[in-house]
Amino acid sequence: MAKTFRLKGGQINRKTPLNFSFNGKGFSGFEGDTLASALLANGVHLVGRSFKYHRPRGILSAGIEEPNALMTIGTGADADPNTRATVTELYEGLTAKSQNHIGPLGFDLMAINDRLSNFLTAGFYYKTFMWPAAFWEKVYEPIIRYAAGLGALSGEDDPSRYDKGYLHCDVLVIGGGATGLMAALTAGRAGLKVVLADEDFRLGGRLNAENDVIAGQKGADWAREISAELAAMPNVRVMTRTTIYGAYDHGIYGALERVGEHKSDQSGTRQILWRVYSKRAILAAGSIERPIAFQDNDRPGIMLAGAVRQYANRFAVAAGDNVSIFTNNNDGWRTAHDLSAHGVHIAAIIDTRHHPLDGEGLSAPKDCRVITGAGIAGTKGRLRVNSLTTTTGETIKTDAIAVSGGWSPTVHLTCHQRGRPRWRDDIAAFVPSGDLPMGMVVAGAANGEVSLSECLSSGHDAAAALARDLGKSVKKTPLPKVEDEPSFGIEACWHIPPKNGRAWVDFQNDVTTKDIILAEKEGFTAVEHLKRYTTLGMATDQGKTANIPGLAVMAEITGKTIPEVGTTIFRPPYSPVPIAAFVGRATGKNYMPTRLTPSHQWAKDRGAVFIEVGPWYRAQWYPEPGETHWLESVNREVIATRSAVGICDVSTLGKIDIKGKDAGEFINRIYANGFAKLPVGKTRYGLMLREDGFVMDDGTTARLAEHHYVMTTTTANAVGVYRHLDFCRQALWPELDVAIISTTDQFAQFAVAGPHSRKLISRIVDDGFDLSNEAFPFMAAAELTVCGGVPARLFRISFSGELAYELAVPAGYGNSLAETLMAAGEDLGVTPYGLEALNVMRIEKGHPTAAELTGQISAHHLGMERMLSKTKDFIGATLARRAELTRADGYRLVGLKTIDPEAMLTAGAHFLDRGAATRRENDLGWMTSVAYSPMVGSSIGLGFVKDGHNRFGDVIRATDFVRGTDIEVEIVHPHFVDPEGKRLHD
Amino acid sequence: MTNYRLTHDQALGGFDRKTDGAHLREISGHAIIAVTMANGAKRGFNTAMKKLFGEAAPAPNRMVTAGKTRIIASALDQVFVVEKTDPQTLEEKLINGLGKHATVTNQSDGWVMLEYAGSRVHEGMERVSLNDTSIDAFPVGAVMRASIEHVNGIVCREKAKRGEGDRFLLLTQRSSAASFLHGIIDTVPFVED
Repeated sequence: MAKTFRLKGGQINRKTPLNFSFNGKGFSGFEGDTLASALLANGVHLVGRSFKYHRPRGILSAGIEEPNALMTIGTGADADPNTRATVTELYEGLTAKSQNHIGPLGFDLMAINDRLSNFLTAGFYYKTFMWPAAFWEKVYEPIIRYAAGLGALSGEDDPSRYDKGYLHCDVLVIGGGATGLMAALTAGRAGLKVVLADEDFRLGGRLNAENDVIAGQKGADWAREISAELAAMPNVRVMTRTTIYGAYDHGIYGALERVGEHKSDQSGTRQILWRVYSKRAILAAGSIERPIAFQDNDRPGIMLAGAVRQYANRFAVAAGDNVSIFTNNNDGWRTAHDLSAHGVHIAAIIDTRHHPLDGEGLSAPKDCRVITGAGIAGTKGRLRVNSLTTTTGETIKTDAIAVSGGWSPTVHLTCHQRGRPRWRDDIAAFVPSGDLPMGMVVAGAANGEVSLSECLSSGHDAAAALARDLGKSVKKTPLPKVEDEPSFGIEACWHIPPKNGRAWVDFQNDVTTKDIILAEKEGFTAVEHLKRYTTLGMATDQGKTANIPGLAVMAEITGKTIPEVGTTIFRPPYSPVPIAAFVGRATGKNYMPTRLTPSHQWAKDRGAVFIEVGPWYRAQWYPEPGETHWLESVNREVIATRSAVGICDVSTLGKIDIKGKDAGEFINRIYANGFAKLPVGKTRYGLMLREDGFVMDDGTTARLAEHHYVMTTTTANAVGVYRHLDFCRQALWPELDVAIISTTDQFAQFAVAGPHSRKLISRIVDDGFDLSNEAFPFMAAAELTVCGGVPARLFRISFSGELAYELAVPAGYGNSLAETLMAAGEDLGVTPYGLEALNVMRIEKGHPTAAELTGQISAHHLGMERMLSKTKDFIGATLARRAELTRADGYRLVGLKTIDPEAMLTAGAHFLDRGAATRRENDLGWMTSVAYSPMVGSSIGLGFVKDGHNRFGDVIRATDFVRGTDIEVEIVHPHFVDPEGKRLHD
Repeated sequence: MTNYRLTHDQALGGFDRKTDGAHLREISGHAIIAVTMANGAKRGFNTAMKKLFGEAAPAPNRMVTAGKTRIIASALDQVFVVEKTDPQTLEEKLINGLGKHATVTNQSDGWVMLEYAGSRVHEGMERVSLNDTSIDAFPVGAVMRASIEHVNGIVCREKAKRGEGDRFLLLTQRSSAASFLHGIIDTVPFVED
């Protein structure tokens, strides 16, 4: 039977044993264990291999700061790499695999890197792999990519569910240890809305790891009691397994709640990403222990002293049978004391301080060797430490070393908005400065308070102050009594310089003190350079145990103080957040919202091929049986529309109802051309400019009644134009009596175009409406009814250039209208046409769209300078007349036709004269839109050419640098079909 | 006279789903008419509204219920009047009743209405609404223009029936209603954690 390192007591539930596996071998633990504690209980210390040198590594810590015990949890599509065993709750059936080794964990073939360590020091890749140059892409990079990286993704779709949410509170308490519990309790009792978040699955923080006594009971029990009181308060929301990973503007925090990772059945939601809006926040995130660097300090079995204590007191696990302590402060002695109380033998306490026992009441356990004023010079034991040698030359047999180099307040969130912490010599640590995110205060160990009584009082005081600030009263209640604790008593010692080996500072990225010395020698002494040159703090643990020791070593060798070296910038997230959590539910087709036209179902039923136009799904073409290529379908649709009749859902175009007694004046100021005299029942094409004189949008506006207009916009600019109108209404001309309302979604609108369009429309309009050319000529508009009383709007406008109408009915009738038009027009040869055919036809007619109206185009460029009214003021009037926009030889919109009928034009091609060198100064313009025209029988285009309106008939080149084509084209009028516009007026 | 007749479809096909603690359903057969107050016509407008409904227009971010009519503040100087009736009937009533004091525009097909009620609705709203919809911050009669899963909408809190928990009236534009709906039903309480 395998030896167990279980102790008595702890906070595990021995009534619920759990089975799990590590590297295929079965083990058992208990509910309440983490994977790390369960492994240690089974005597497993070797858990992985280091990143660069593939050295054997063991569990260092008991929390999120863990740099070594990174594992892949789960199998197949559920495999989750780089998961810290120290924060992974044990569950029945958990499978874990170690990472970063080729061959078995105990015999990694890549360990050869350790023998080559002299060649792999910091920055080695800046100095190697350079010759020959061709080898980089074909040899070096593939090998390095294969060897590099920590963990591997499954390569399959993530089957887990992730969700998102938004919380609002008066106070966000970050951290559920003694300080946080006290703060949440005070705020909750004061009646504030509180969210208390802690990354652990059990509230209590260090109280769960220590033997403190609060109010006459164990600290862990006190924490449980307070947790229960908080859970019962309706105004307090307790969120365990929740990491506050970022402090953002305006009191907004990012939080990741792990709701499903600890369950055997992982089919439910795995994680929830919360955005927390808080009026105030109390950061009570405690502190993180740090090691002391010494030669070969990275062996399995060498751990942080506070973690060793936590494993013993909370998880009832002994780190070894014969444990040594290495410390520079009184906290290390607590570990010795607690382990000894559990019956674990303490081999030695090595204290760097010369007189650690003076006046502190500390005592060494029985049979324990105490060595003061000394350090550890080296260790032995490749797969598990088995001895240490002190700087005094003594060799001591030991199977675990608990190292305490001090505690670093968890200041990260205080610095997420470019704040910088300040140094305190008395605790040899950085603490928050006054430069905090809005609404945040810091309390407890996170603020540098080192005693439990200080933590409790600061948590209470911080919450009480916030409560009063928010208008609540706080009852005076005495704080719970805490037994006296020894002082911290730290004397900074960051490393013991190795005599003939390496001392590790950053375990995860394999950064040693030697690397830091090398960085200094090579001039990389600034802390940001130190980080990037050595990769100190750049691994997934973000240097939680490494950064401070690293910059302290740099301070020592450069003769600066630690605050002079300073810290790097802290950025969210505090700990890794999966991309999937940010995605939440926005996966697959739901990754963004969609907008559907009223006839979407009908189009889908007809087999339409859809295209995304912003969020809209629009039918692009409607393939018929036997058609094998999209061009067949599109050509058919164009020919059918131009020879018979076609229908197209154009509901996506913006529709804005403009009403009020000043509606006409309002529109007249918006458009460049005149609208003041537009008669009722008429539509006019309008050109809308920006203040700077460039064209913003174009469209038609119809006058349906004396004080009722309806403006159409392009699909792309529907929102932009509405906002523009609303700005003009509210800010520029609030005195005008005008109301604007979007009716884009209110109406389904169909273009009915072609020689038979009048016939088709007449079959559905109700009696009494005269559709004749005389009564309803080109550009007429009216409100009427169709199909037995359905209210509708009819506009005789044409984007295709054919005799055409646009018919609008309330959107709920849209699907039915499509079916009805098809039924009513069957004998007329009615054909539905999509966006592609619509585009072909408008190019054949030279009508601009967003492809031409790029925001850098003027009325002159479009050949529409006559639309700029000379008799009224309008938005853009002044700047539209700038010399550059109106120059006689400026760009002009023209048509382009291929000389070779087989050649295919491409949009984006640039124009050059024949024989001109392909240089920028010879550029004549560019192609904006192209299409194959079945009417012309070749590829045609629209584009802007310098002085184009004086160059009709000229042959130039259309050169496409991306596709590598150079095609000769003739400059022609942009109206390829029916240039006189006869069909429009039929 | 044309023999062709059109049928009217509900945007969400009459969606109706119940789960433990929540009932979400599309409300149909209601007229939604946008009423915009004319410039400087506040007094006349409110007098006319009181005559029509017994209530003046609500303040911004508020709604009032007048019998079977809901009047929802939807934008600056604008309300939606919502009633279970034919849109043309309500539109004419408003045109005749408000006269020169307001302009009136039918929005009955442009907006979709959903009723969302139940004891667990607050959990669901937490997942989809950036804004605080708890009863303290968003009491009965409160209205907000809000984004639900990146789709614009109007959220109104109505008086819950006894034992119901929370009751919301949600409005969103027709073309993106399917995405709006999906945003709500793809999480708790319709999908358990």
